[in-house]
Amino acid sequence: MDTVWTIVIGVLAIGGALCVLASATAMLRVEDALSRINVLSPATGLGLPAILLAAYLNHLTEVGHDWIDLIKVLVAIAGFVIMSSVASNTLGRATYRSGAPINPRTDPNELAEAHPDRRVD
Amino acid sequence: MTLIVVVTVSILTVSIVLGLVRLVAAQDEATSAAVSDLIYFCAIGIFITTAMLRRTSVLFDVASVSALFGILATVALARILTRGRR
Repeated sequence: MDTVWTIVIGVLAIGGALCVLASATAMLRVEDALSRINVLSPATGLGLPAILLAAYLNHLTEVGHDWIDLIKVLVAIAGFVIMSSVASNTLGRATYRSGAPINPRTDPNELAEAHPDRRVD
Repeated sequence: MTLIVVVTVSILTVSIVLGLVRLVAAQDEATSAAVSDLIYFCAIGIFITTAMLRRTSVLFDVASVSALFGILATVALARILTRGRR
């Protein structure tokens, strides 16, 4: 049974780290700042929750069940997913408005209609 | 378990280095904000995985607080990008 848990924890932790690595690699490859903010989502929405789940399963096998810890983990996972979505949305909007160059193939571009006051240097 | 932690921390460290390489290559403000976010989340990941070995009692506290308040830095950077306009 211990081996099974170790494998599950290992797959979750290393898989989560690989999601973060995929985000970092994508950040190297994409061309504009807006996409760089966009490609961060796999890391925050999938990678970090998986790593945290692995840590909780490790805690569960070594220490035992505790409701308070479970609630903290659920709050953290919800926080990673919700807060990072809101934050990247805010940051993407601010990036567009600040006049950062965007890929000309960006289509549809609803931010252009929402923010006609875009600063272009 | 040690092997899992070492592999995970190595992958996260490589991610940080890739982010820094991106930052050196493209020095606009929005990229700095995105890379700082990436490094922040990598640091949380490294803390969570190393805490698995050291059995600290604050692991889940740190994780939940950092998940909830990580937004503050990003929103502050967004405000800096727009020069204070909402």
